[in-house]
Amino acid sequence: MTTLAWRPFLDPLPLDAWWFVLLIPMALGVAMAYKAVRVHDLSTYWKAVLGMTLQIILGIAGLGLGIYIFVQFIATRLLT
Amino acid sequence: MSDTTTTPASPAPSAHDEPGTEVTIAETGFHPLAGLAALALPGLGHAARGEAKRGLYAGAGVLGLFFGGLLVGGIDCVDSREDGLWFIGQALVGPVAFATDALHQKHFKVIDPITKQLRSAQPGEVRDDATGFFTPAIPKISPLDSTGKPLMNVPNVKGVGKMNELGTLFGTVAGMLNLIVIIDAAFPTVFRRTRVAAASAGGAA
Repeated sequence: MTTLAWRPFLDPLPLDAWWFVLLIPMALGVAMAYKAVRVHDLSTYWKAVLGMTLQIILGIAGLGLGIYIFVQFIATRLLT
Repeated sequence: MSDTTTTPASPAPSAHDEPGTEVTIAETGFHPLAGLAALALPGLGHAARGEAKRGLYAGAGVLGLFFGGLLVGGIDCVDSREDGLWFIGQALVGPVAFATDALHQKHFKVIDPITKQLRSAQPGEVRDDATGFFTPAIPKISPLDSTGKPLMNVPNVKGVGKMNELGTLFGTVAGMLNLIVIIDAAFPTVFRRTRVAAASAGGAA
């Protein structure tokens, strides 16, 4: 399937090689919904959303990096 | 609103507060109408409670995730028959999720001629809307009925791999977040300012 033939909402997005980029819209959506019910004063809403979005992205990236280091370097040493 | 009842959610003013001091008490309210509205459409509960902007933000977040999932993985991501466990989470988005699933089952899946069961169309199959059965050969131009409407619709492409996983996850996360939004709409935290009463004889010394 090529990008030109992609039909929105009917066909999967042809982004298999770039799937990890979808963490950004997911983190943004989670932060938008959560902060909408969490912040007391809505004037600070977008600032809170941005902060939480960055926290999620950095947290997941950190987890990914940590697991990569464990699997590639620590686990291999433990097993050999 | 008149149907809101409240129960204390935080401790009463502490014994260390001077009598007459103004303190803020957080209480948990109960707003059944807002709860029902939130079940109907994400964010509508807050709007019904008079917090339209908050409802708009919450609804945009939940529906943005849900339709974002559909955009990423296609309509195949919402499937109560094949992905029942995931659909439990997606169903928390409300009627929108059930409508999407019904649309998928009734207008995109084909009936297998051997098992007579609904299934996703395989490559090369198109759907005959009149019967629901697939037609193995794809015509370049669908035959038309007497009113000039195409008889066959090319169904959706079944999602596989990471795009299907992510699209499904987007929808389920949207449902879980909507549960938080529903609870917040039905049981809002309300803040009330009150003055600390004078300590009674049996109070703290």
